[in-house]
Amino acid sequence: MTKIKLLLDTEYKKTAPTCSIRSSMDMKEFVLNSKHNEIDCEFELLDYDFIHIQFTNKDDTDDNVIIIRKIVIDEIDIQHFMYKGSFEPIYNVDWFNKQDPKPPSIYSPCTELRHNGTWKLKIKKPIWKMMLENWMNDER
Amino acid sequence: MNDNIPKLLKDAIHENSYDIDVLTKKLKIPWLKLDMEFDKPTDSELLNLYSKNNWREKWQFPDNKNRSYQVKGWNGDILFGPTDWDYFMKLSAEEFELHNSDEDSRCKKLRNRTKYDWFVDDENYVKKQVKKYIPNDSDINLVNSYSLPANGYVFPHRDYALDDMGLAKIYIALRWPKNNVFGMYGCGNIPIKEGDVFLINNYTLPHWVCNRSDEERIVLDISANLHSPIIKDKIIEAFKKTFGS
Repeated sequence: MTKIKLLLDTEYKKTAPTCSIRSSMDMKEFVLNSKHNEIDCEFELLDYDFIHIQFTNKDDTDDNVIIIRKIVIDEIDIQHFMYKGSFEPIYNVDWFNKQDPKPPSIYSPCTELRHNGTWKLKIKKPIWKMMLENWMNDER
Repeated sequence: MNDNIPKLLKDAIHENSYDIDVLTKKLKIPWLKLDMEFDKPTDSELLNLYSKNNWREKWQFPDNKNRSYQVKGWNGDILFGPTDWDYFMKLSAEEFELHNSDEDSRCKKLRNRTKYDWFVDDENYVKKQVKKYIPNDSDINLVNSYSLPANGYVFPHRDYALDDMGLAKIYIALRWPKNNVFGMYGCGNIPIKEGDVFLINNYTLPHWVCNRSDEERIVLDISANLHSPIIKDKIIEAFKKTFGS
């Protein structure tokens, strides 16, 4: 099992955002009752896997939002590599139909989940090696 | 020892090891001398390696018809490689139409797309020597000889590959008379002596060869799986020896 810590901020009036966090092998659900939420959990991770954060109760009247602040996997803060994550929204149909031009089907980088949908990040174990290989292959 | 340090740093300190892909692809090292020894070939074994075929025509280099002025006398023969040559070249043309990829990288890229085998028997000198270090044929992409007669040369050029290949060519100087040069731009000449085995990076820098002796120069080129057990150990050992790591 691998320790995962998530710092998730929220914006809401009455409807606290809920999300499910998944890997290929595990899923856990959370109600984010605070403005600043620290989630500590353990996940079974494959050597190559995805971390999914699914926003499930978008309330368009309340305009609740989940903001990903920090991700720590295996006690390692993945720092700016969380910007490699992408968010695939499931738009409210009425809202979507009113939009011109149409909004994108995927956002990356993205750390603010303002619609229902799933944010995902590809990971590779061991995490320390994934971090170093990301730096090594960064051609900037 | 105080281990009260961030996990990323702790893992990097404790888990760091040698990675063949990092050593051969990322570092852009021009060459590494490998501690490998090929038995000294007899004169007749060397004679078998004097190439008579037209290497450039065989590989359908664009300028093969006109005998490019940039190449004088340089030639080669395949000892291990694709068995159905026409099919290999057809695949090669499809895959590499837009790329100027060298022979090693083409054989590597198409390794699992068609059959490869030895063109010499089990008692052949080259096959016996190669087998000492790469016993499993599936780890070999190409074994060929390159011959360069007295006063022969290849102009400065750079080879290209498709997948970040760097140090990749196992280069064995079977016959290397004095006054032979393998120059590498910005790095001087590769310090090759007869009998040496080098791992060469012909993809990063322009390079050239010139035989200013009175005798034929013969080398072997092996394109192999650098993760195969013996080769991998030889590369790591050479890296440690060269860089004191």
